[in-house]
Amino acid sequence: MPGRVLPEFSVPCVGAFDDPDFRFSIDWDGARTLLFASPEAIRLQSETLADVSDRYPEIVAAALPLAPRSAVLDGVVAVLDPSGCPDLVALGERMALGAASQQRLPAVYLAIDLLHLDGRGIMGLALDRRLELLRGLDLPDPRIQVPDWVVGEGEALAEAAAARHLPALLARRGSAHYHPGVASPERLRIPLQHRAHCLVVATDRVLGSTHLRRLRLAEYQGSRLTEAGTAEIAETSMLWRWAAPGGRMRSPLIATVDYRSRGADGGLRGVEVVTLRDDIDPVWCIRRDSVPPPPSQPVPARGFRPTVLSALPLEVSPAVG
Amino acid sequence: MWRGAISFGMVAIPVRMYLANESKGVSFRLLCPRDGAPLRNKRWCPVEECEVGWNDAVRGFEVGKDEYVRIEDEELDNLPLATTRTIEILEFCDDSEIDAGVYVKGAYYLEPEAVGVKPYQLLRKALEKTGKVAVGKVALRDREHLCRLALHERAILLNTLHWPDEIRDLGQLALPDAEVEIHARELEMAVMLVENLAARFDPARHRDGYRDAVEGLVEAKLNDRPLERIPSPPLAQITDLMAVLKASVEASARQRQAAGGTEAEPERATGSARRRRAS
Repeated sequence: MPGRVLPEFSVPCVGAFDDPDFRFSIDWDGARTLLFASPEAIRLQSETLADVSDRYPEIVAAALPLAPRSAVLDGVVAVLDPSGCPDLVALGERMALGAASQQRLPAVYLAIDLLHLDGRGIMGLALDRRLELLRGLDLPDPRIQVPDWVVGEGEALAEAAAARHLPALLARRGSAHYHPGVASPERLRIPLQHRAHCLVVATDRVLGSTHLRRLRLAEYQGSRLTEAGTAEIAETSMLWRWAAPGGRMRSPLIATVDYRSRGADGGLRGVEVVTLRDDIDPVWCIRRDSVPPPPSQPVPARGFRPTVLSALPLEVSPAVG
Repeated sequence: MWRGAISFGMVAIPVRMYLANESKGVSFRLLCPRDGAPLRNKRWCPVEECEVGWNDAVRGFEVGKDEYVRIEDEELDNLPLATTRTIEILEFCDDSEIDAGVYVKGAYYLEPEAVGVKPYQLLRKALEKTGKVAVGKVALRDREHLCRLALHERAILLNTLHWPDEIRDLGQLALPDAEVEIHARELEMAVMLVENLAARFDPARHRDGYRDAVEGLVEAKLNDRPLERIPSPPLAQITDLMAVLKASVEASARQRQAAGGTEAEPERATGSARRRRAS
């Protein structure tokens, strides 16, 4: 059983496509989380490798039946609305209020991959086989769910998902291995909304307002942190009170934002804060060019050539913002 | 719970103070009558119409209607009181001079710090030999209290006392005067009744009947019906949403087939048609 595992990241793709080699699912709104279950302990690890077990005790409890199997699952912690749709705003509220709010805002774990089972690493198996093993797990508690996927028909799923205002599709090649810690070209994210994760680098009071705070946002371009725009949030909101306890802003602090468009300089226009969070590694607040859909008849892969992102500075440059 | 020193004359005895008693009274939570969820008190700002967290709230001293002077924690800590970290002994008196029935508020044990063992014992011996108790002042929880130090088994007991102006005057009550005529026979019977019930005080023989009765009631209710549990909102299923999405995808595939006629039915994942096992 590994101590910690970096999750595999996705590469942005310009649009939806059909390809029978790809498994299309929803890129669920939530907190990317790895679930480690062994007879010794059950714990949850965030994308930043932090132990977040205390945040979601109901998921830890729900994973007890997995403990004898010694499994590691990759997935997303979400708070579902009554229609079963992940609600990122509610998840932000849950993160801000902590585990004490689990009665009102119960979290669920949406498992999308299986990385270890019965003490053996299975990241080298094809995705299709891993998904088959994931389906075979005994998960009786509804707080751990395995969302379905569609084979080949990305365009139709994108159309249906966009109609329900879902944020993005995930397209994963059925034969692909799992590549921890890198953005794999065999794992494509097809955005259906204008949404981004930005680093909050500075804040100030909105001129003339008694309670609005302006967040200065930044994204990495290569290894350089560049200004991405601004967004406003009420100082009295629960999110801001969580993000700046005692008036001192958490660091690093990530803002998940919806935006209307990008300007010629790449900056965000018409930005609205969806949530503030600390569970995303700032290095993934990155402005990346989208790749085209894979060719319909892909050349069989000869070895894996991932998009490796170099380590980026976590410290915020004082010059920014 | 509190660390400081007993101070009298040139002597300072470092001590720790612990509560001598604990409340075991019956307490109930207030529940919502509709769903049984426990009700919470919120610190609500009526101006901004939002909840204010404990850590964000500040203290205010009301000086007039809707007029407050803000007081910071640091300002309270820096109040010029000699007793913030000391139990300052002012005098020694006979215990009978303190009307404990109305003056005593709380009881605390004093335990000597390692370096204060000898002067602590010295004070105990002095109280024992003179039969006196000490009267002093101590600051606890933002308030200065009058206090009494007395022997209690092997320890020194500190009782916080009400200030004299906190004791209500008996004159407010309609009490009988001494002129009420009582016959010797009546008094004899009353004294006999008292003597029949006379016993050495043993606290262990007395129990809180109300608490016992409530605990019995709770136990009986537990046996009769299931415990009142906090209801959880029904947990939605992501599979419901995926089923809707997949239905759309399949409808789209059928439309394309109908339009084209030659397009092949897309491959289905081995498990994709199966629903996740229900709980």
